[in-house]
Amino acid sequence: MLGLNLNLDLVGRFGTGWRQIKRYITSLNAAGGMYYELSESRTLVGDFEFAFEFATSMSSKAVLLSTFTDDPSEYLNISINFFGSSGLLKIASLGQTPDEGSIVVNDGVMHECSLVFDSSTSLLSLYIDGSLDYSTTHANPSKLLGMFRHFIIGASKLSTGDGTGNLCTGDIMNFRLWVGGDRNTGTLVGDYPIDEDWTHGNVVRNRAAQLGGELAPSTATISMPSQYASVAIPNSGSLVAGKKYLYSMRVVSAPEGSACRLRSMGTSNNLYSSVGGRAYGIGTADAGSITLQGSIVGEYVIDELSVREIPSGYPYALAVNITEDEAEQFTKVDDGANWLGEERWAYGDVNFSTNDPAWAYKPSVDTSLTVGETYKGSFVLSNTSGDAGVDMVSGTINVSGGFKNEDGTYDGIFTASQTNNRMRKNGSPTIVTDVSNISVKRLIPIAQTNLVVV
Amino acid sequence: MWSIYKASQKEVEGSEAWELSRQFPYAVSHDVTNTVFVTTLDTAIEPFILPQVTTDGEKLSEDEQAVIAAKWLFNQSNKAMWLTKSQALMLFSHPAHRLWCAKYEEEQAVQFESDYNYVKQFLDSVGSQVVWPEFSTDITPQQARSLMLQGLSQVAQ
Repeated sequence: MLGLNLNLDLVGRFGTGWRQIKRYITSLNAAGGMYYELSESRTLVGDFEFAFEFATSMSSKAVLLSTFTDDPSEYLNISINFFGSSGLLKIASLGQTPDEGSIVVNDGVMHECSLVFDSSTSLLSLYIDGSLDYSTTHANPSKLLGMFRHFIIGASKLSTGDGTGNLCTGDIMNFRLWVGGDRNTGTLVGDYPIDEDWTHGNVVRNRAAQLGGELAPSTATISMPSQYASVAIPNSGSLVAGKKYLYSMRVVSAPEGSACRLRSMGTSNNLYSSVGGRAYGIGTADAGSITLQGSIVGEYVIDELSVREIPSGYPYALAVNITEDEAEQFTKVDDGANWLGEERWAYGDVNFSTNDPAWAYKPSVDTSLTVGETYKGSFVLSNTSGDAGVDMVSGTINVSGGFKNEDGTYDGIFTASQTNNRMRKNGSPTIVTDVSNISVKRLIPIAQTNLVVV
Repeated sequence: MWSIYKASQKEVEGSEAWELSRQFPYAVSHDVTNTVFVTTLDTAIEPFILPQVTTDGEKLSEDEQAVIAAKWLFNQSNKAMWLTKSQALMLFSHPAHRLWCAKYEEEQAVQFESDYNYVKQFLDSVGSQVVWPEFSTDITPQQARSLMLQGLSQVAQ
């Protein structure tokens, strides 16, 4: 889902410029096992801070952020727990961290969560939208510090080490990690917007990482001498075994029916790509030169070739079980209070005449909404006669529902109770009305309007 | 559309699930038995599309869709079930799915009891003859899953 990021100046209420901000927000869906995982582990030493923004409205426990050692039981999670409540945050680590928060956060509103660790007191402090939610001590800091820790965003590792659990349904973005201090005193080693388009496939950029120099020429023509041979790409640099690299390539031409891959990136990180296909990923290199492997004998031409080292300690992130189809572009005005998604109404204007029976739907079928998500709907009625009444169904926006504005337009916010979103003629068959300017966009309210905007 | 396959199919080289698992190596298996892929395979053979409406065009309730899905998954071994993302989320949130997965934590005792009683009534209503004991704290999620399996074996024929 590609698009342009446009920064448009609007006139604010006080005459100042408002900047429109566009982001590709991808909703995590627990049913699909979606989460993000950092590409390598990171040691925590001394003080540290994690921060991210999230919006959820779940009904069962989920983990927003999990960090753990090679032993999954040595975890430190930020989870939304339900102890008979509406969902409160808890710092969890196998009985080492008592208590839980008190600020209601599982309300569909975008909050900023921050966890700060003070190594001198072993105190973990959880902040919501800049306010302290609660603090707790870690009973065994030796299980927290000085070890390589993996990171998962939106789930936790199962204690068996096999797969993930406590999956989150909701929106998470702007994950940041400071070590050696907090956001004011520490070093920023992870800065993941998690809100970009899919130009880079499932790779999430780490804005804190300074990639190494380019190791590959931008284009290459390779003659594959035999099936599945690996051929060194001319004029390319050397790889170091075990190091992580960010790589990409596009297949310009290749033998019919073939597949090829950058063989050098380790067997578990190979990417296949057909003609015209583009590969982008993170690989752990085996030693040696950068090689292309082809499945069929013949000539392979590739461009957009790039291989750059990811500096140790500055991991990238990978989107797991998330596809481009899940990305939706949201727009926000930078002193506004909501993120607004893409237009879901695809049917133009709707006209209801006396030929339409009472309770007639237009369109007859539509499945553009997700149950439980919040939307902003709006429309305009004109040329109305009879006992006027038109509903936007799946919500509660209607003529009599109190959503009429002074200028005669209708708008309101609703939580979808079904996937259908349609205009419905009310109970009287005598209604004649034109419905125009119909709009339905997903809406994520923001708890505070001064969130850092990058 | 998403697809669900038997988890064991991922190990069958050349199978549809095996193809998809190369693209999604960490596809989730909530219940160990079935694996969810967030896409479909264009070349899938005779996938079962989970209906949202009856043949008469009547909208199926969530319970009705859950029964259809459970019966089909109980009987199938290698073909795909295709469903929309919304259907997948609905099934994932259904009490029967939670009970089937049997992964309740200590603080979810109330949820477990609620799901147990819901599914007991739910399976009774679709013809199961399994006698479910009254809920007590002695009943484990695994026992409840066994009762579900017995009930499904009766109604899925």
